[in-house]
Amino acid sequence: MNARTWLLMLVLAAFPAAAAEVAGVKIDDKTRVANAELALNGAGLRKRVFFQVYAIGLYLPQKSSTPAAILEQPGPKRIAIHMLRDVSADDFTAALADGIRANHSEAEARALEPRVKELAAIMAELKEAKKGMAIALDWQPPGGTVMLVNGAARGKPIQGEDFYRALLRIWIGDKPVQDDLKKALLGG
Amino acid sequence: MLLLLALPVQAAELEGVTLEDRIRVDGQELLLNGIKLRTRVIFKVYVAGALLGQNAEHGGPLYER
Repeated sequence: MNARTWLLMLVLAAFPAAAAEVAGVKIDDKTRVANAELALNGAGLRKRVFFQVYAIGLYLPQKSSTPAAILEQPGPKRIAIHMLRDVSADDFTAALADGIRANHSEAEARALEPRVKELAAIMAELKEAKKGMAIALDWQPPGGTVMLVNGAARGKPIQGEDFYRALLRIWIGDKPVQDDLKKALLGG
Repeated sequence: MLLLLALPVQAAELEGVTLEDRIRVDGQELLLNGIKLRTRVIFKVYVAGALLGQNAEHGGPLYER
């Protein structure tokens, strides 16, 4: 360290650097790197924000604590979704499609795709899953998967129990959309 | 019957959403197996932070495209 640097340090010590403050953290306006003075160009806060999308409940003829037991259980079932914010039809069905892809092989996902599109078409007519809306995805044997909005059935039943099981796997499959949500739907 | 009337319907409540413990679908009674909130996380960067040399010999953009 040469004399000039010492002098600079003294000056810097005497006049505390102006500083930006972000969320209680002070960030100096200037710093030195490899003997070059650098000026603070901007300071920001990376913030994590949690927002609630929906509340979901799973109804079964008999309570079950394992995904296998739920998927194999005969009789009607209901996935009850209560929207806590507005979600566009596109975002809603894209999230369902992502959840199905995550839990199925490519070949399985391909076989399910036409029926995912049937569900997307029903959603598209709604345009939006609005805050406060109650959306039910029912398995009503032998008819199929029925979507209800605020208690009223929409569109035609979607055929095949494999499709309903695929829907269930979005939330209780090997790669659930949210781990603690899966745990809760299995009865905690 | 009287006993049932006297007891309020059991239900789960989460963020103002109430789901009954028992419902009927297709004429069959179903039991609520579990209830949970779906939450999403977003990361917000309000301002980019960067320290730039004022007298940099190599001027130009911070990132080359």
